[in-house]
This record gives sequence, structure tokens and C-alpha cells, in this order.
Amino acid sequence: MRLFVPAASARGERSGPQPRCEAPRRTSPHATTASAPLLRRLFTSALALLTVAGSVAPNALQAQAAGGTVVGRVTDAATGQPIQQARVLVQGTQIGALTAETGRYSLRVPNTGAIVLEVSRIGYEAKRINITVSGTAPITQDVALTQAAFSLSAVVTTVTGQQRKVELANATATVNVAEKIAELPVANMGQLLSGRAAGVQVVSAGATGAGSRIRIRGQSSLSLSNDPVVIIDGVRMTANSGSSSIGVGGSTPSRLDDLNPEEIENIEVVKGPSAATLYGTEAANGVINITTKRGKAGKTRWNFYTENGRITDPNTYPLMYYGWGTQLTGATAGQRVRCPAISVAAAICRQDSLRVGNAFLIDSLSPIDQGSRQQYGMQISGGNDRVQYFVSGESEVETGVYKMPDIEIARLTRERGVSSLPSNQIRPNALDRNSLRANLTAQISSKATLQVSSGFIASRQRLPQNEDNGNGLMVGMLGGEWREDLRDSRGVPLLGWRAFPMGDILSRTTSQSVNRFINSAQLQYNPISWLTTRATVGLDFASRSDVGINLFDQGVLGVNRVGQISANRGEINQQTVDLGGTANKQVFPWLNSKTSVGMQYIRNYFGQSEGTGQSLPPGATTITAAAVRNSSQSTDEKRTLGYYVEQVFSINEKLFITGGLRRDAASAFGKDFRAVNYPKVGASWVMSDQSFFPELSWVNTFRLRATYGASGQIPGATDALRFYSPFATTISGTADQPGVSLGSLGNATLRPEFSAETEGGFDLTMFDGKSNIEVTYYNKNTTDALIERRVAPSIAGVTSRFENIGNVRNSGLELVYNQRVVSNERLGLEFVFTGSTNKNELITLGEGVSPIPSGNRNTQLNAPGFPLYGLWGRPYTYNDANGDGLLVASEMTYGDNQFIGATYPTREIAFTPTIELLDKKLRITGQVDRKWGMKKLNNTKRHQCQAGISCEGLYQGAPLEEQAKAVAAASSIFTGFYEDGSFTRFRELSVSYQMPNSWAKALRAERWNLVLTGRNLGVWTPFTGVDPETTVGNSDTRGNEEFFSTPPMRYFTFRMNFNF
Amino acid sequence: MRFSFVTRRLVRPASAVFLAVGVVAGCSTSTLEITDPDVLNVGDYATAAGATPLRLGAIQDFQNVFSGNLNLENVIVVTGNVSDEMYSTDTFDDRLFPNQRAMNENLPALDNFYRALHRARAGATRAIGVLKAVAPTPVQNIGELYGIRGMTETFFAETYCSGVPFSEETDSGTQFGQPQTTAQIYTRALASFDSALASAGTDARVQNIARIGRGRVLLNQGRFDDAAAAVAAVPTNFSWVTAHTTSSGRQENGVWNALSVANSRYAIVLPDAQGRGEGVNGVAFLTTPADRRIPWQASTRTGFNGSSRNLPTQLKYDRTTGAVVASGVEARLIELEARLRKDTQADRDAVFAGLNALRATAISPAMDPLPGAAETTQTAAVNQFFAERAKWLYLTGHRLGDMRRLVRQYGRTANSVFPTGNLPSPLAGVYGNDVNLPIPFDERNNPNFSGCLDRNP
Repeated sequence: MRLFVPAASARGERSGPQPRCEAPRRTSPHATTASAPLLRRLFTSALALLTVAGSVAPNALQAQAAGGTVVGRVTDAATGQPIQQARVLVQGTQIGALTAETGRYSLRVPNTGAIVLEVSRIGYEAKRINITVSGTAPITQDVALTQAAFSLSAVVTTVTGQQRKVELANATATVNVAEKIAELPVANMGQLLSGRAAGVQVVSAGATGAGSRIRIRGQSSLSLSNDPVVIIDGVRMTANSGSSSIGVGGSTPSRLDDLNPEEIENIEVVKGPSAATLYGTEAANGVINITTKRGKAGKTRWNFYTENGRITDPNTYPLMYYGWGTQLTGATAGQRVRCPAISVAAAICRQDSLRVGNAFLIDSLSPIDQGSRQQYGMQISGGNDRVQYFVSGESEVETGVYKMPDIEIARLTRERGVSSLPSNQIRPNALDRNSLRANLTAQISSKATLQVSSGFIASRQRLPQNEDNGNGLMVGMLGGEWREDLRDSRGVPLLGWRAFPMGDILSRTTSQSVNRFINSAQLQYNPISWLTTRATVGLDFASRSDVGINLFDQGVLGVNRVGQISANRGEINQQTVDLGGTANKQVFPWLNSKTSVGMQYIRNYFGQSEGTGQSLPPGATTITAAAVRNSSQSTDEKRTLGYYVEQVFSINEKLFITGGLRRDAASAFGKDFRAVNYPKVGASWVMSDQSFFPELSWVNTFRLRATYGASGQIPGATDALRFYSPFATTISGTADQPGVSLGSLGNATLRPEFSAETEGGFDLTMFDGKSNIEVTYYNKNTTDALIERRVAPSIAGVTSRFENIGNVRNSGLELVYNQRVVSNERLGLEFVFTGSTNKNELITLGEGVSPIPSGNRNTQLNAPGFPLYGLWGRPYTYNDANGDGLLVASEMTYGDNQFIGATYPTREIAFTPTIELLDKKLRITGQVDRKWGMKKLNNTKRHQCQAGISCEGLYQGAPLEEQAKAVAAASSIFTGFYEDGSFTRFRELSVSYQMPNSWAKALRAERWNLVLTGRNLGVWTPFTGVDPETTVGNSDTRGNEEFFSTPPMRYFTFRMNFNF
Repeated sequence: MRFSFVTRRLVRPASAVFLAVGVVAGCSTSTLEITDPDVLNVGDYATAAGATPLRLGAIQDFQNVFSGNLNLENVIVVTGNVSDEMYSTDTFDDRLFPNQRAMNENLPALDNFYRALHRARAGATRAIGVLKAVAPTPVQNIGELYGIRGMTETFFAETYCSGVPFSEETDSGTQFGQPQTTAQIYTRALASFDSALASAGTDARVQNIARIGRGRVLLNQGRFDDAAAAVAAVPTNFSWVTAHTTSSGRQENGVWNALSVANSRYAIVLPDAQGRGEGVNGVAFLTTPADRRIPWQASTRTGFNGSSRNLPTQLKYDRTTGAVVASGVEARLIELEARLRKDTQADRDAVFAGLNALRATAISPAMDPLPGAAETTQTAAVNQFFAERAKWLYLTGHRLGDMRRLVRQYGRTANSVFPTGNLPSPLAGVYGNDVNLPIPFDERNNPNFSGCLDRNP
């Protein structure tokens, strides 16, 4: 199989000589003034640069006289069914058209003579067809395309517009969301991306609405975010995790999860700097490029779906221990006391009994119940040849598993003298989200197309106090002593909860409301046959409101019991202006040149007003009602301006050579550093199209690719500045007065992190396209790493300063293997296997810079020669010298502090098989994945052994290994709690069945299918904590740490799709 | 329109390039300039108008580190935790280890405290420079800042091991400091208080701050008579008090937050069955009925660890109560200690009378006098004096320095002064041997610093 097979030629034949194109008619650049608005100036600049490129390009193609029209129909070669949205393009130009629902197209070609038509569509082999355009009657050219799931001719979205995969020198990962999601429903973006692309790891939080953490090719930055950049319909969107101003202890929403996956057509994952160079500063961690659904010409299509499901907790929680004994010494001799092993060994007490259990095992104490999920949505699309539209709306409600125990509901109802409690206290974890989208595509002239995308999301979410939170739910369940006799200071029985009755813990509510618009307009204008210009403007605007409240006389005992409210309102505002153009020339019959230039302007703004109030009257829920009020304001703004040029040469459509450069300036750079340059160069070579390549019947295509590219990470908005920070000063006898002190040392030479990546690999398609293998090696070096260096405290007490002092390397292999085992009209069987490795190493850390501790209790150390965020600890051995079965401190031997293991998985694989039965009406797909090569801190157990006094190792009778962990913990040596974090998870299984057509028609539907989906169906792991993917905070420093965290839950959903 | 070859090939492309570059350059210059409202330009505060907020900022930073709500740890809390005034009911090593007298360099809460102390010192130094340059009057504003700087330096000497460096940070750069011995730090502090006195003008408050500061340093230096002379002019009813409000969490009294809230991370110490304070050697501060210098009440509060129960509640500090940094009572105690050093029965009698005089006049209503007569041995008299001093200065950041002085100046062993033996239940383990705080690991980013010079008292 060749990538582009002329219609009249057979495999292995060379395509004939290509016609020479006419010289372009040039236009003068539009002059502008320096005081003109930004958009106009940028647009003008882009056009000017583009014109320069056009002016200096070789004019190998000659102009000819007036053109003609080509019409035709594009169909599926196997079924004869029309193919809509296929792209028909005159080779070497940007002149093209899309097919309508009928598969028909009409293409006006400005010049007569021989041309080559390129016909492509995702999922089909592209074709090139030689035709001759005359000025008389329209030429009819029908095209039949052959399905090819793994074609290199597939079209992907890049900075410079759509490009064929074969032209790109880097590996690309495309998730065809629209195809998947109807038969494999997902609740959020994390579920959507998990296991779909090699090298892309998703760590999902367990609580409903808690955000996922997405990492592409490992972690590069020690002090900056490792989140990838997310672009939706050409504009940058805010997608950070940890998006909340009121912490609950760990779980936080992610702005990426605001997106409704149902609205997405496909996602391109740009994995690293080698591919993301033209995206500029901030793209060093990769780019997630999202394209939403668009309307298709033809009759109006209605899709309606409904989903209902339940959420359960399949997890087993650790047992807690409490040893009772008799005091043998001192004034309390003979009394019943807690009797740890260390006291038994010292003959201070005698252990009489050991109480074992936890509150999860007692239904009346457990805050775990069954959660639920409902989703209803409708999508409408249609249009004609000139205007297409897509409109969708969805309502989604998910209620997490947490629920106030009935005995606490009864207690609080009684204490408060009410008949019922607020639902947000009874069910403290929920997400309610509504989304609307309207996308419009209009051919506003023969040369111009306008795409307008507008999405609106309204969400409301609530999370309980949890994770790393002394007033939190899990700490209340697992963080205290396992004894039944305790009461709080009011005399309320604790029953096994740590310090507060569970009803009081859940009476503090924390909620977040978001109203968000993501809008973009893209104008594509082809003024002349060889030139395409693009202008995209977009705005991602979100209004976020975070509220945490203790009503008067509610909540845990403490200062907030008098009533406390925090209400913060924030504005997230990201603006994008993206201007560019591409000049396409067939320089010689064997050489095609594509020159792109462009500019991007990104403004990233976050502003917030924060208010708190304390001492509320009964029933009050506003700061206004508080006796003590406080407010503050914060702003964070960054702007980046970049411009780029890219040159792609295509030699005989077999070798593609790309070079490019991006130059960025940013407001966050130090005043002594103006701009940074990011180069790229790469080649893609379809060796199988070369004559010397062996004629192997089972090999369809073999491509080699290699690329080098660079990108960066931008400093924080004020990291470069030396400044004072303001605060109120209390002077005795007077009102508060303003005061200032040094807030930051600043760094005038601060510059972006510079990540340069080399990537190489091959794509091999075999057995008539049934087998496809992609292998990629990458090596990413991050230099000038921005590290928040701890400053010697004696320098004015300032904590840290950002400096460019590190060098970090990530390298690894990626494998994608698609295999279509069986595929016919009746059944199908295929699978996708992805796998990747990641080796991360901090190469250097700047001269004289001490290794930087991180992680909870400094369990991590970032030292040259070892991975970022690695777990370090002192190994130990033990010897029960006196044979009494009790370990004491003197029987332990400790080694020096040393590296124990990485916290980020160094290996991961995912296996996704799909089987289609019963004339392909029954479709079963699932995913099993495995991650290994990492250690995980079981910090819950550490706490239970060190402070919670409830771990087994603290008491007589425990295995010596467990006792050793506890004895070491008493000396702040936590190595015993670094566990093997590897796991294999049965992540998802979905069964979809297409109901008989007659049944669908009875409902006036064209198609009706049912989908039953299960998620998190099983896990196999040596980790002894609750779950190996449990995470506190979901940050890089604590992302692989279990600390009273909500583990992953099990989902079962039932969905119905109706197409009208 | 037709163009010549030169026009097409040269002039127009060149023009376009110049135009594009010009426009881009113009954009990048104007578009990327942001004025962040959160930050205040340093240059704006080298003016007469800016000097006042800079001065007030230095005062607030000092209040924060002395008694404010700065991550709970302040001078009173940290020194109280290491000494016998309070103990930790936390789950974090940051607070458990100092109480246990078994500290290391990697305890984040202590790092924050150390930073805050340097922040207050450096802030005062910076403000002094600005005031001298642009707002030299009233001069007592400068004197007060010298007093603050001297007091932070005193805290460094009393609290930390030998070897604290004092780096300097100015607009023109950073000068890393060399490790200073404890003695050098006291010398430095004394110089600051001398400057405070010299810059006090006629302001009695600043004069007294400087006098007591001098007396405190001289006492630490073992110059007892000089110390007594330094504070002689301070009236007994003088006090230098921090100010706290509930305007923001940062401005609250941090001692109250540390000791008195539900699930507090610290607690005051109930005497054991034998009537002893913390760790056998501690002063039994809590008595029934309560000593009015140490008001407290029983409660059923629980510590943060969930295991420490029925914690007594101190009543000395509320959420907005100011804390006494220096007072006339301290001045009198300095004078009495100088007298006690004479080591004759007459001096012991005089000290006994002086302590009773304070009980009669320095608190209202007057307290009962000490029972019996003056001690007849110097050891017993010293014990009595330091117990009284501990109660007068309870939770004011003096006790750790006094315990170190008992070892350094009175020949006691550390483990006869500091808490020792087994930690009280539910805490587990034994007390260590530390008598001061180590300098946090982060200071090793100072190339001149490689750790404490010694851990001597």
C-alpha cells in the first residue's frame, strides 16, 4: 500500500510527473501604524511576513488561463455508501472542498490544465487522482476510498493548520472521541484520556468532581506545573488541576474536567517539545489539542442520550489496632491503660487485649453509601453546503459515595431541633454540571470560511473536608485510636471516630460554582490559490465562586463553631490571538514546499477577591452577617507573544523535511532577558515507497521519522520581580495601618525553562492494514530548569527564589500496536496495545545548590543523578536480640539516607480489546492497564504508626517487620512505608448493543443502542494501602502518596443513545 | 500593475520585513508590560511617604514572630515548647521533636520560625536605613526599630545554637553572613540596643525598650551589675506589648491559637502526681487555685493528635491579647538577680523581699507573699528566684534563655534543668539532650554556613 496511489496506477508504480503551477498574483502588504490595535497589528504583521515568504519563494509554477469546475461523489469502496466530510484538495494549493452528506463535492479550480486531486478522510486511505481541468464543462470525478484505520494519510490538527500524519516527523496520538464515546461513556476528561495514548498517564482522584492529573512523557519541572497545554478549537484554555481557593485537604477540581467529553470530535496529543515547538513557551509538557464537533451538511440529525449509573466503593480499608493493658509501674499502677509494645518491653505495662477493626466495617459508623450518576443530553447538527451547525446541551448530576451516617443525622436533627438536615451536609460530595455548545461553520465566500465555536459550562460541585486535613473525613475514620469509649469535650460519643463526630465533620460544606464560556472564531481565507491565511481569536472566560461555610453552632468543635464563611470570587480569563498563513508551492514536480508563518498572543489572567467572616448569627450564610470580616484581593497575569516560521519540503511525497523556529517574549521573563528562540527540525521518510525497499507482500508501509524540537516553560507572573508585599499592621491603641515588607528577592535574569527533545521511531503497517506498529524513542532535556530554590533564611527571611539552575532529562520508549484480528460484516475483533517507559533524572542542580527536599515530611529528595520527586529514606535492619518478640529502638540498625525509588511509574502498558458480534450489533470493549516501576508512600499507615497510634506494629504480637516500621517511625524514619506501588487494573468494560431497527423505528429513531459500562472493576497490587492509585492532592510531589485519600470508586452506568 | 525585477525581488520583500519586524517589536514592547497590582515597587518606599508603611511593616513582622499567628510558631511558643512551659499535642515532628529536645535541621515549622525571625531583623534594618535617609524625625521611630532589631538578635542568641549568620540584602545585592558565635550575637544585640537608646530622643517608651534590652543582653553575658544598672531607670509599671486583633488570622495572638483552640497542637503542662512540672524538672506552673500570673482552667479539650485529652486551658492570652515583650517587672527581676549573685544571706533576704514587693505591687490585686522566709542556701534561693521569675515571665519568651543560663551561669547540668526522662502518656519515647534549636537546613544555601558551631547552652 502506498500513501497516495494515483487512481490509475497500481501498487509500486510511481506517480507521473506533476504539473507546474502558475505564479501567484502578489498583493501588497497592508501598512499599519504602531498605535493600531493589537489584533490589527498582529494580523498585518502576519500577512507581511507571509508575503515576504511568498515573494522569496521560487516561482516554479506557471500561471495559466481561467479555470474550471470539478464535481463528483466520494464513496466507501467497500459499501458504496457516501462519505461526508471528506476533503478534496488540489495538490500544491489550498483550494479544496468538503463533501456533503451525500458524498458530493463541487470544486472551483481557478486554472485550467492538469492538476492532482487529493481526497482524504480520517479512517480512509487518501487518494491522489490526475485530472485535466478545461474551461468548458464541469469535470466529473468520483472517488472510492478504502477504509484504513491506521493510515499515515490521516489528517491531524497542528499549529499551521491541518496536516497529514505522514508529513509530521513526530509520533502523533489521536483519540477519536466522537466515535468512542457513544459506546464507551466517560464521566470526565481523565477517563477519556486514560490508556488511550502511549506515554500519556492519567492519575484520577477518587472523589466525584476531583480533578485528574495528566502527565505526558514524565515530569520535567520541579517547581512549575507539569500540566500540558490544552487548546480547544484553536484557542488556549485554562486546564490546570488544583483549581480552588478553598482547600478541603487534597481533592481539588481541574478546569480541564469542565469540558463535556460528549462535545468533542477528537483529541490530538502532542507529546513533547519536538512536536510542540510552534506552540511556544509553556508547551514543554505537551499539548492536548481538542477539536469539538461540527455540523455536517445534510438533513438535521438529532442525537439524544441518557445515562444512569451507580457508584460503589469496592475498597477495603486498613484495620486499626489498640492494645489495652495494665499499668505495672508508677502512680497509676494497676490501672487499665493503652499498652504499646515498647512499654511491654520496658515492663511498664502488660498487654491484656488487642482491639482490631475500623469504623468502615460498622455500617452505622461508615460514611460510605452508594453514589449515583445521571446524564441527559441532546445534540443537533446539520446544514447545507455553505453553512453547517452543531448544537448540543447536556445536564449531568453525580453524587459521590460519601453520606452522613444515619445515627449522626438523627443526633444532629435532635440537637438542632429541626426535622431534616441540609442535603449538602448529608451528601457532601456531588457534581452538577450543565453544558451548552453551538458551533457554526460558514463558507462566507469562495475564498473564506468562518468557524465559530461557543461553549458554556455551568457547574456546581461540593467536596467534603478530607485527605490531609485533621478535621477531615478519612482522618476521622482512620487517623485516631480504635476504641469505642471516647467522647468529645461536650460528651458526644465518638464511637471510633478520631476526634469529632462524623456529622460535625460533614457539617462544614465547601462548594465551587463555575460559569464558563469558551469561545473562538476562526477565519480561513485563501486569497490566492497557493496561500492560506488563518486568524483565530478566542476567549476562555470563567467566573469561579468558592464558598466554605460553617453555620453557627455547626461543624467540628473549634473557633469556626461560632460560624465561619469563606467566599472567594475569581475570574479566569485567557485570551488567544493566533494569526498565520501557509504558502504552498509545487516548486518542482518532485518537490513541494510549504511555508508557514504566524504569530500567537496569549494573555492569561486570574483575579480573585477573597472574603472571610467569622462569628455568624444563627442561620446566616453571608459575610455581611459576620461579626469579624476580612477581605483580600489577588491578581496574576502573564502575557506571551510569539511568532514562528516553518518550512516543510516534500520530496516525491516520500521524504518530508521540516524546519522551523519560534521566538517568544513574555511578561514573566526577567527584565534582563527579552526573548527565547525554539528551533525544530525533522524528517519523515516513507521508506516503503522507495524502489530499493524489499517487495514484502505483508508490509504495506514503513516509515522512519526523526525530529528535534524545543519548547519551554514560563516562570510565574511575578517570579522575576523584587517587590514589597502589603499587609495590615496592628498598632496598639490605633486602628490597623498599612505596612509593607519584602515579598520577593526577584531575579532579573530569569528566563524560561528550555526543553529540547529528540524523537525518533518508525511506523509499520502490515497485512493489508490489519497490523500497525508505532515505536518511538524520545529524549527530552530540560535545561535552565526553573527551580524554586530555597534561600538561606538569613537573607531577609524570604523563603525561596526562582532560578534557572537545573537540568532534567526524560527519556523512554513508546509502543503502539493496533491489530485487527477479524473484520467482516458479521463480526470483528481488534485490540490496541500501548506501552511506554520513562526514565527521569535530575542531571544537575546548579553549583553549590543543596539537594532539594520535597514531599510530605521531606520523604523526597531531588538530587542530581536521581529522578525528580524520588523517595529517599534510611534503610534499616532489625534483630530481636533478646528473643522476646518485641522490637525496641536498640534492636534497630539504620543505614544512611539513600534513594529508594521513583514515585512516577517508569513502565506502563494498556491493553484495549474490542470484539463485535451479532452482525456487529453487539460490541464489547474493555481496558486493562498496568503501571510499575515506582514506589508509593503509604502515609496513612505512617500516620497510624507514628501519631495515630493505631497500626499493628505498635502492639505486642505483631510481626517483627511491622514492629520495625513503627519503631523506625518513632525516629522519623519512614522507609518502611515506601511500598511497591505497581498495579494491574481492570479499568473499564463496556457492552454496547444496537437494538433492532424495527424497535428503533417504533420510536421514530434511526438507531437505538444500549451501553452498559463498568469502571474500576478490579485491581491487583502488592501495595498494602487502600488502592495504589489513591492520591492526596494529585500534585507531582504528593501524587503517589496515600494519605487519608479517597480511593478510586467503581462505576456502573447504563446508557441509551437515540439517533433521529 | 507590473513591477520591475528589483521592485519585486528586493524592495517589496525588504519593506515587508521591516514593516513586520517593526510592528512585532512595537507589539512586544507595549503588550508585554504588565503592572501587577499585587506587588509594590521597592523604589516607591524609599520616600518619606513610603517610609511609614515600611516602618510599620517591620513592627508587624516583629509582632508576628514574637506572639503572632505565624503558622503557630512564634518566639513564645517555640521557646515554651522546648522549655517546660508547654508541650506539643501534635502529630508532626516539627513540634513533637522540639518538645522532646531531640531536634534536627529538617523541621519545617522551625524553618518557618527561623525565617520569620530573620525577616523581622532584616525588615528593621532595612527600615532604619530608609528612615535615616528620608524621614529622620521623629528620631524615636528609628530608635524603636533598633530596639526591635536588638530584640530579634537576642532571641537568636537565646534560642539557637552557636553559629547563626546574619546576611544582608539590599537593592544592590546579597551579602552572605558568616556564622556568629552566641557571644558575638549578644555583642551585636547590645550594639543595637545602644543605638536604640541613642536614637530614642526623649521618648520614654523607646528609652525603656532599649534599657530592658540592654539589661537582658548583659544578663546573658553574665554582666549582672551592668545589667542592673542598665534597667534601673525603668519604672515597674512599664511594659512593651505587642498588639493583636481579629482583623485577619495573621494578626491574631498566636499563643492563644497554639494553646487554647479545640484540638490545639500545644498544651500547657499539668503537674504530675508528685506535683512536678514537665519532665521531672519543670516548674509546676499550674496550681489550684491558680497563681494569678498564670490563669488557667480545666477543660475537656482534646489535642490535635486526638489522644491527648482533658487539656487545661491557659487564660493569660485571648485571641487579641497583647504579649509583653519587655516590662518593668523584668527590670526589677534583673536587679534582684544581680543582687542574688552577691551570694550573702543579706542579699538573699533582699531578693526575697524584692520578690514579695513585686507580688505586692506589680499585680493587682496584690498577691500573697511567698511563704516563710528567705532561703538560707544559695542553691535554694536560686531555685526560688528562677521559679518566681518563670512565673512572672510565663509565656513571654524568656524561659528557654533562663534555663540555658541556669546551666551556663549557675553550674547546673542540662538534665537537671530541662525536662528529662520518659515523655508523659500518650506521647511515647524519652526526652533528648538539646538545650537549643539547630539552625535549619536551608541556611546551608548560605555558602559560609555549614551547621551549628556548637550546641552548648
